[in-house]
Amino acid sequence: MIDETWTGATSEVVKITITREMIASYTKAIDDDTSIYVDIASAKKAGYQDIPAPPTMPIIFWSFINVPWLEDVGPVVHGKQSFSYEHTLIANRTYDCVIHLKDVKKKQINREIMQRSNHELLLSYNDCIHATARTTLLIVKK
Amino acid sequence: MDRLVLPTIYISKIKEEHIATYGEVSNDFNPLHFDKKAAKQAGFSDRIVHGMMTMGISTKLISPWLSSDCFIKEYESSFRYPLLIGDSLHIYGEIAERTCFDARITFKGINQHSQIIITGKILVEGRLQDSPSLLKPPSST
Repeated sequence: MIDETWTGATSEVVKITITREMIASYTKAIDDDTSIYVDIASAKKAGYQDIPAPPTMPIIFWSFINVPWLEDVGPVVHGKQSFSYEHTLIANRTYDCVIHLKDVKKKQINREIMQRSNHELLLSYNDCIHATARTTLLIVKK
Repeated sequence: MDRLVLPTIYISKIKEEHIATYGEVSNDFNPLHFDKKAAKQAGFSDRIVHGMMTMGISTKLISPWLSSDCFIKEYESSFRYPLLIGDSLHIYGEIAERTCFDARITFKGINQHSQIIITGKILVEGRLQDSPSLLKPPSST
């Protein structure tokens, strides 16, 4: 379980450059062969400056960021996920990424304790937030 | 208003390679996805598929219509029931509401037992009246 004293904590800020190759690998993993994600001519024809990132892709940025409150917490299940965009993320840009632990709550369900934690991953470019990914994680202890 | 159905996404069987590829790209090697024993200890009958892979697959509902004039503002999902390796997946989406400036889409993913795996909502914004697509509002067609 997450130590609740971490509530309100923020991770380090990590600079992540989205590459066309990262987008191609991600779209392959989600079985999406839409041309704007792999073909620069299609992306530009659709009005993008470079290859756009699929809307759910920021979730993989978690793996670039050290999240100390999730170390050794055991198996974690994903409860809810949302993404809010001010701008579409595109390749060949470097985003400042940071994860914030918004809240942690425990609930007793029969003989199990379920801990629900809400996180926000903020992605900024030139000091402006371009996207926010909100993640609800569940940890169950018997 | 009319509810326009989007083309259904269908995967006949979630295979080992799906989980392996998604694990590699996301660097998510949670044992619930890769270790049957760990999955069973956690109360699942088999290894579970990454929820974010299922959500990622759902983006194909809308990606053919995206452009700089038609972009995703909000995309949210709830993971209702575990999808297991070997399961099939249907994702059904429909446009619940459209104006000249936005479209609201709802979707759900179902396994071969008709259990609802995932539900979600998408808000698309932009100059949809100019969009040569399903998202174009009825008044301008």
